[in-house]
Amino acid sequence: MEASTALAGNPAKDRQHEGAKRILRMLRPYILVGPSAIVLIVFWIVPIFQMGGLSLFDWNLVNPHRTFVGLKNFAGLIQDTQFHQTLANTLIYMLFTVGLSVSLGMLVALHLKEATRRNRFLQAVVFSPYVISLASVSLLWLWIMNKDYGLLNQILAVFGISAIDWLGDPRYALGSLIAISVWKSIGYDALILTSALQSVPQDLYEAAELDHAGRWSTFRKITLPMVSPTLFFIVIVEVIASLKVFETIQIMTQGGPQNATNTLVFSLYQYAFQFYKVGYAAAIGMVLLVLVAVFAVLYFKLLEKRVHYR
Amino acid sequence: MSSIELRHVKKSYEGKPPVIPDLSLEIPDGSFTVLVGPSGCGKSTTLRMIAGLEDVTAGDILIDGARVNEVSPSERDIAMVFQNYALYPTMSVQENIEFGLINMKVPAPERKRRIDEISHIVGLEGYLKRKPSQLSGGQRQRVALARAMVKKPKVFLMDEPLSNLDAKLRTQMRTELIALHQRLGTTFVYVTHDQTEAMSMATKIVLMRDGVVQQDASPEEIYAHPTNRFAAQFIGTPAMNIFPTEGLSLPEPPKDAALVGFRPSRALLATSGAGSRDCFTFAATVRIHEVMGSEIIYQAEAPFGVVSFKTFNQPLVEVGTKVTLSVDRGSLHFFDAQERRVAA
Repeated sequence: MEASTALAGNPAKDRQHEGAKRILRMLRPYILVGPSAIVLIVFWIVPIFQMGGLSLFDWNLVNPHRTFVGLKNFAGLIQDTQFHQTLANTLIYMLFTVGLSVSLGMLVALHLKEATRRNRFLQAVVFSPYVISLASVSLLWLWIMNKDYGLLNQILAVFGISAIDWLGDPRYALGSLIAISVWKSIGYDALILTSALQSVPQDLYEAAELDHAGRWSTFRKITLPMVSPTLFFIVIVEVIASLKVFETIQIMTQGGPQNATNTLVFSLYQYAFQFYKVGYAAAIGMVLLVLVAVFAVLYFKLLEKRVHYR
Repeated sequence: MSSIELRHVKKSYEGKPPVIPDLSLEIPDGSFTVLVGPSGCGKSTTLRMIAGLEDVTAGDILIDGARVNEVSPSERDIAMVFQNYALYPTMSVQENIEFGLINMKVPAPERKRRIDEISHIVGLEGYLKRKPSQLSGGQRQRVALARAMVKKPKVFLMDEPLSNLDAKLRTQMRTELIALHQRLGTTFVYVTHDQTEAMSMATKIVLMRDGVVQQDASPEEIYAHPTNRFAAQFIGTPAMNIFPTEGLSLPEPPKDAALVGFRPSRALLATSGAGSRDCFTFAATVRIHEVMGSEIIYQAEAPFGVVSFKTFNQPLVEVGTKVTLSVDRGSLHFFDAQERRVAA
């Protein structure tokens, strides 16, 4: 009797159990996505809206009273010639840093793609700047680029070239910072691109060889399209990193000389924490946000057709 | 059209025993030569050396009598179809076919004419704008063939081009390749590990093992007169039955014979219980049967070992049935203690 009851089960209990299972099934996606969504909302979405809100106020960071000024901060940016230069500096810095580090990284990767012991050693050497902290890099290059006792000028002196004020002359300062950024990121780009190059099937190169393809044609028609997903990834990472540049400028030039190395993020920092014009800084932040968004959309739109995903 | 000759070719990689110790081979002009053998026998390496994709350690490779050891692959006037096709995934079908012609600086109108012609031959007219990833295995195979054909090479090299296709498509493509060879009349060198492909397509088979040619002959010759035990058992399905001659009552075995073999198709079910004096006759018990349609393949247990035999258009013999099998004296193959063929 007991056995038969156990086999038949309790219909009411079964229904309850089924109901609980159905609710759990419905909630499961929210439970899984929830923690990430909360982090995203609290640390990303809310601050963006807060920044957007702050850009409409005049506030000095200390006074609890904020004055609503509407779009006055943005109007100020449009008329601010120093901001125009800062924006131009940021774009120039981004263009040259990304262009040079990716193309030089590709050149290095093409030379080091064979998995030999020598190449592995050279890869480690080229990659090493990437693991050094930006503060250390900045201090190192402050010494190398010092006008009076820097290594660079000492080398130039051997060839009879007079000393250059790499970081103090407005003509060279931004270029010097670009060079440092390229030096630091070239190894990372080369490492990622080397692994992408190594994953291109060898028989494609053999087929191209039999198809009378020269080196340039093989690179343009086979190599480049095959590594385009990786290239796309690197470009995105580098663009974002270069738009965010701060540490080297803070340590090496403080945005000078004559605003020659000031960029959006450093300018934002200056307005918020040195000049206490938080609304103006937030407006700069919004410009940076729009810039990043425009580049992201532009890249996805322009490159999605050119990027070959295997 | 072109003939190929390999003279004492050796291939070895640093610190390893040679893959090919000493290979001499002639591939006649216009032939469909198949290099066949088990994995690692050096057949693909041989093909790649002919293509120029692998350096030759020693010896000479000649195409049309001219030594080509130092000639680059693109200058050898050859085309190759790779095992996984090696189609350029970023290019459309048309661009894949056209790439070689553009590099050869063939004028645009001539390129268009050739692409139209080739795509018609291989049946790719409607697919020229597609990417390889949008094609089936068979269509990719055709693109690879078209890419090779459009250059009008002197020699076609094919490295297991059918191995990625399903059985039905493979059979169909075999027929198409035979027709293509007949149509073009060009020298084909084809690598496979599949003896059925070799037998069905080749005008000449080069059977290799451990970098050494075991036999180099027409499919008929290699099937009828294998030079050694390896050739006898590699070619033909199921493999030839081979047993030690000791203790067997064979009709007039040659003096040096240590092994005797017979093809499964040559072992006939004896109806009257015992064969004639010119036959090797034995009793066996059927253990396994595989019905293939018109033919049935059996495995039967004989006193000297397990024997394969085939019947054609005959009723099925049930498992456990005792049968008498008879092999004609002329169908017996004899091998010596070194497994070399002994004249019957």
